[in-house]
Amino acid sequence: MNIWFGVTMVSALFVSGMAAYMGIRALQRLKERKSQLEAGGEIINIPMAMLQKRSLWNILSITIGVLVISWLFKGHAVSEFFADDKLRISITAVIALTLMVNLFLMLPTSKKGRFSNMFDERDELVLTKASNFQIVGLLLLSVVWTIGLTEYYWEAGSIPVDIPYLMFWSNFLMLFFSRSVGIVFSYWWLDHHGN
Amino acid sequence: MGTDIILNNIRKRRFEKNEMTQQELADAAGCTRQTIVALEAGRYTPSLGLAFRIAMIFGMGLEEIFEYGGEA
Repeated sequence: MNIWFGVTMVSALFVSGMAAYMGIRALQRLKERKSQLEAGGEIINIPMAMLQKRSLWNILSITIGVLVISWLFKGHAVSEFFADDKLRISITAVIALTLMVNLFLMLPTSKKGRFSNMFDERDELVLTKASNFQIVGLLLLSVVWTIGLTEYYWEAGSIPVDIPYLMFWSNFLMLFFSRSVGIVFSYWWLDHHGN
Repeated sequence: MGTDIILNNIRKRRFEKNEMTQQELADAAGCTRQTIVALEAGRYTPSLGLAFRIAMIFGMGLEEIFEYGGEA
């Protein structure tokens, strides 16, 4: 067995173990806070914040972008990416469009400027919590890429030069996707369990 | 060490102040209506700055609006 395969597997097990531990701890806290709230009585629905709504739209737009990219890649080998101009331009255009939609949707992330009356300290707290999701998202994506590439190109012993380019863009998309997921989750958490 | 529980009577104070709406209070305090709803529901502990601003809007001291409820 190759040493790097072993390292990859141990890393994957470590990350999975950490994710499982964090999930179990979150569920335990959820149970504790739920019983406290039930003891306290009244449950009030808190209206969605602007950032929360925009994050949901962002999750939808990135999901659509990824689906379109997958559809464009259908029937093509990854190594065709640089060889086929039409494919490369189409995919780059979809990625650029998705990122521009993200930029437009996620602009109001400051107390300054024209969104100042729709953004406050609670939203800032949510953004701080959401950054943790970005770290986990990127970590999980790197595990998926590493295991996938190791398994798929094991026999060949090397990966096509197109792959790092696609990895770069996938990191970008994951960065914004996991942030939006983090924002939606953090609002849900705050609404149900407080800060 | 658990989470501090901060209780408040903002809802009661709003009604006493000419039935002030959540939006009016939010505008005066420099926060969003969602934050006022969350505060009234006991789902958000405000920063000291916001707590002082809310108390000043009602013309009261901090302790007349907020109360320490122990640890969760």
